[in-house]
Amino acid sequence: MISPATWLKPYGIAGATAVLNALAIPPGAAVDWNISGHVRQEIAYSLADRPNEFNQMGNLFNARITPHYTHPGWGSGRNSRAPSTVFIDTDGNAGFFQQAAGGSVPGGGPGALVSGAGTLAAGAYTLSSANCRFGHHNAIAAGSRGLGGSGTFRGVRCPNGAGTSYVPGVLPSASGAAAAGFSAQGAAFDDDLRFNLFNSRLEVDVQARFNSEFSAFARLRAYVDSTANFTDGVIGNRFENPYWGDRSTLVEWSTPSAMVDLPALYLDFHRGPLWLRFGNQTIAWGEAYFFRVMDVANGLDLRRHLTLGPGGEEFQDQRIASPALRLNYSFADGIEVDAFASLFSATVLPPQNTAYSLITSSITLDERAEFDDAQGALNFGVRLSLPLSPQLTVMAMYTNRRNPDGVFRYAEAPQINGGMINPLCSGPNNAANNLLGAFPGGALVPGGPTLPAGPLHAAVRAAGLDAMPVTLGGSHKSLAHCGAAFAPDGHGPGSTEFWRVIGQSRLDPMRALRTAVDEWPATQWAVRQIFGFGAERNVADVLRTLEAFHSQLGGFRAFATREFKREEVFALGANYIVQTDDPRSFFDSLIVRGEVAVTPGKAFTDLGLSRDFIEDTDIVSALIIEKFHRFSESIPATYMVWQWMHREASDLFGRHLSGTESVPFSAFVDEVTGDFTPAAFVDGAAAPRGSGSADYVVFGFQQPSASLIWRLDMAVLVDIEGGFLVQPGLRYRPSGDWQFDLYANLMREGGGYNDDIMETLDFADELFFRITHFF
Amino acid sequence: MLIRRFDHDHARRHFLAQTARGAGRAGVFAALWPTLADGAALGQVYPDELLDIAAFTGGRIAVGDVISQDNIDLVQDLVDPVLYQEVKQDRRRFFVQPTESAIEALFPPYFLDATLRHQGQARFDDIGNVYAHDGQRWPGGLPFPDAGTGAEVIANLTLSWGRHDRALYAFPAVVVGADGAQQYEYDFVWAEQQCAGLVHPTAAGPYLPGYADKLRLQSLWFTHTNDVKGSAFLSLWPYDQRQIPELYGYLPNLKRVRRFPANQRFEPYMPGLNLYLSDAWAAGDPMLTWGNYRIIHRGPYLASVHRQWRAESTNWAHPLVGGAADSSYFYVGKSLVPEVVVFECEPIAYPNAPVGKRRVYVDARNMNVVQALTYDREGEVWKSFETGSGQRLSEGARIVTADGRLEWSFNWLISHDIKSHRVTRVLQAETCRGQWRTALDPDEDLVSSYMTEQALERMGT
Repeated sequence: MISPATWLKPYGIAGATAVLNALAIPPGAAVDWNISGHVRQEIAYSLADRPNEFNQMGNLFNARITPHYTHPGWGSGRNSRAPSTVFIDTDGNAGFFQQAAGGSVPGGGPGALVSGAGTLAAGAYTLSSANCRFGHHNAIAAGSRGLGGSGTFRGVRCPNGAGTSYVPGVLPSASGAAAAGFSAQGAAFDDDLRFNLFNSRLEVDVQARFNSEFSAFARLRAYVDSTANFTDGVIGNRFENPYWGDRSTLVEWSTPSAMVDLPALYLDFHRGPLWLRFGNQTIAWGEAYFFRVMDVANGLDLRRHLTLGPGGEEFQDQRIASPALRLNYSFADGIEVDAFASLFSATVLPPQNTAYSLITSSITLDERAEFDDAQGALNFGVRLSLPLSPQLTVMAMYTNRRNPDGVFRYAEAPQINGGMINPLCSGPNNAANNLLGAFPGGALVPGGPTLPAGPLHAAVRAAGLDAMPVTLGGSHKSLAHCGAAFAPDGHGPGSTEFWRVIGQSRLDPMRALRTAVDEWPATQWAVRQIFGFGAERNVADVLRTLEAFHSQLGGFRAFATREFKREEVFALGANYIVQTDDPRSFFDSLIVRGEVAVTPGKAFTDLGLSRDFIEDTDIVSALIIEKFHRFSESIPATYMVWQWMHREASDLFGRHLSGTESVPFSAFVDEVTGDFTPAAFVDGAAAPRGSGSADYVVFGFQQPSASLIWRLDMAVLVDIEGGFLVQPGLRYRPSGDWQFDLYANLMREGGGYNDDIMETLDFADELFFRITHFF
Repeated sequence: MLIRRFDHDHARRHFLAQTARGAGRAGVFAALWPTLADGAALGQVYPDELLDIAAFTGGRIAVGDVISQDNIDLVQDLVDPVLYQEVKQDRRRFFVQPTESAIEALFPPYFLDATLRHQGQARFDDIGNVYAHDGQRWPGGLPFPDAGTGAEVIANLTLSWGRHDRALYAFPAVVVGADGAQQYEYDFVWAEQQCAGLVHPTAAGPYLPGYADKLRLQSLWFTHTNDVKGSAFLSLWPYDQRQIPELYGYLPNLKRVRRFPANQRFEPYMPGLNLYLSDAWAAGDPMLTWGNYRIIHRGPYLASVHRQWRAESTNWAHPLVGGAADSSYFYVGKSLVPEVVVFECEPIAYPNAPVGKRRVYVDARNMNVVQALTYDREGEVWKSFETGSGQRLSEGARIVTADGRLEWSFNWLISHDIKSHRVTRVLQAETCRGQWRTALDPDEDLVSSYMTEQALERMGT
């Protein structure tokens, strides 16, 4: 028993009295603190036959030297000669090199492969026959000074002497050697992460009742991630994000491997039918379990166990608390109004290079600027609950929020990445600009157009083209002033890998590349205006651009961010309990719930990661049927739930449905000859087919033993497109102090190509075990 | 020399005859209820051997004696089979108290007032619900203080559980295993609000405004252990006893209030607890969802019906006794109750219920449950629900109503699962974790504070 006067003593008598008066607590009154908590060890062992390929250590392409399909040495060489789209600006000007090939640049002329302003062979600039992982680093090690000797565009040199060793300025004659196909440097990154979780948790709850009207609650959560001890692979920062300083949530202290936060810290006041809650809190609305329809007040913290914990615990450990004021008023006839205003808090994604990462390690997510833009924003919402009869209750909800899940787009790359100067940025290190300044004269690449010796800046202007843009970062909020979304990186994906990871992310590879060029002024200037690469409209164009870049830059990585757009969510819901005259009827006491949410003009991630987000009306609905049924006299009732979710615009992860059903790479390259198929020249053929709607079905049950000491759980999530997740589990509660949980997450994708959600998760097959001690 | 008017077996023969008729009123010499209502003493209703344990046992047991495995056989006829087993085989002990003879000591004052005020007004309608002679919901007190049938007895138990208009009970609960070790410990708060039958003088009338079709609202919320803390449930009881109450629940994992089907009433509240929704006051289900109520026995019984409040102990706790660690049961007193009515009933609205029947022991004087035995489908005793109750009177402490009369309530319960030999002890304590305090008819709006969906969510964590 602690008197409030005691703990307020440091603030002085006057201050203490003022606080107590505000709380209407008599100064002599005692406050009981109810402190309890638990410690828990959480272990998940991977059962997957392949690691999470989004991680560096699980990247399927680590050791692979993949061919460049547009290189003259690939296959019959037809691909390299295939025509590709040529850049023509709005004034009718072709790119500088193209103009040179057409004879428009004084001193310039056509080459064997680039013989005119209107023609551009797909392989004209593909100098390397393979994408050599770490080729960039190797080229540096080999002493390459790059194209034009400026120290940039260093080219590619495959490791261990394998593959091509084209290094501009060093060994140009070696271009075209065959790839051996294996990179020992890349293979060194291979590792596995058998323990998805090996984490320790401490939670302490503190409750205080000051009087019949005021109470308070706080929960402290400390969490230590020890998975890094079980692998030698690259492990990312598991907890820090640049939202609130280095913190992911407002009330949090974190390190790369541990975090302490306060998922609850609030004061309650109630008088009669009025209830106010102020402080860091979560708000859960809605009828469905796990399916979030009306449950839009909070984002999710996906850092610990994604959403793969026991289904019965729903998002108990994931909902992100936000500082909020909640007001609830209950009318005598059961009508209830519930409203909140809360500080925006972003959904925290599973960190890259960790067990449950959903973002490829070859993309850098840099959200600081965009979060800063949303920081301090308020979300607000109101829900009306209206019991129409003892059996039927209806609900209506409106929420206005910054969508905590955010929408992705390219972000500005840094001027220096991994210690390497970014030659794509505008400015003194821009490779294309420096190339123009110190052009040695002649053909840049074998068969390319010829140009006089530099500097050629004046010639570029004379050709009706722009000078290198003095970029201030475009319309985005990064302060890098680079004007490009890419930066060199030895770990960057090759063209095949790019295709795969973009598709897995439910994006369009063609648009993703085109956006990365056209929306970023430095890149647009170099790729379009100088080199003359036309906007990528088909697969041949895409591979042309990608492989030309890889040939000369080696690997590069993309930078992306999330914007948190404001949106309005309107929802209706109802629940109805079926009552029959026959208590033996299976339908007796069946509970039917339904809800539908509409978000007009909701922003979705553009399939090309453009700043012009997709705007669509998101309609999400769910039908839920619950039943407790006693099948036998000897065991308690079985709890069963069936759920069906129907979505009109997005999948379960919130990705726009136009990005589903990607077209596999094999549709565009003949697997025998290696030549482009006709589809590779069809505009838009690589675009995802998309889906008109998405449907998911859940069936779950819980079967306790007679004393509830044992409980068998089962949850099955089926994506109607194919694929399922099965989660069997067993809970054992032998005493008040201890609890043991043994669960498994077993997934199988449906066999299509990027058409079901399990394809995103099926690396996460696992057995997980928790041992909890309560105190 | 005192010449007895009746021999020692007269009472036994009387009870046998009453039971055989399947009807009849309490009392041996006279009908219990009108006699007591007229202010007469118990001695005018029952012979001496039903009012004095020494007389009943021929002096072998006296007030103050401790009943243990050594002497339980002397009073085997005065206890139920579970209590007998606990004493005989599990080292439980209890001490003998004098028989309480004042009717006022067996009721909450206002509930007794209402019982007297409304005496003779209760009627069953064609369905089996109880109404006053004016057709209104029962206005309070016992509807059938002189119950002669099983249906009347269960109506007495069901229409008002705690015999107060509203109450908050702070319950520390402990589950002890067969090895005598404590297995589980839960704290929870139980709140009741009568919607019909309000008896407190400050009530505007016998009915709670706004709840015309309801009998009561009842909620409970857990405050310990950490994993269940914040779990809260609310039952809205229709007056129509054919209808199963609406049930709402807040589960901390889900962070929101959900409507639950309430027809599954035979599962523990929490792991290890022997307590089910169906168990409350041995009348936890709407009475018309059970049936075949029949009185099977009348006779004397040893029960804990007064002086069960230990105000002098920390948190009103009782000493512990019995079991492998000598700490399984409350060490309590029991007195000779001159007449208990024992009735049986069976669940009829719950398919596959694990319960075959329930046998309920009710003190004929105040129609309060003192023991209920639940039988499984094979007819074997499964578990008990034993209660202790009495006035708020202890050594040097008392709690009185606004008009100065002693309060009354139940004080504890023990539920013994015979099959698993797991004992659940629940104490109506002064307080439980979370600073919740027991309060009878508190001056607080319990409905808005604890019996709305909002309240469940607010109290949840």
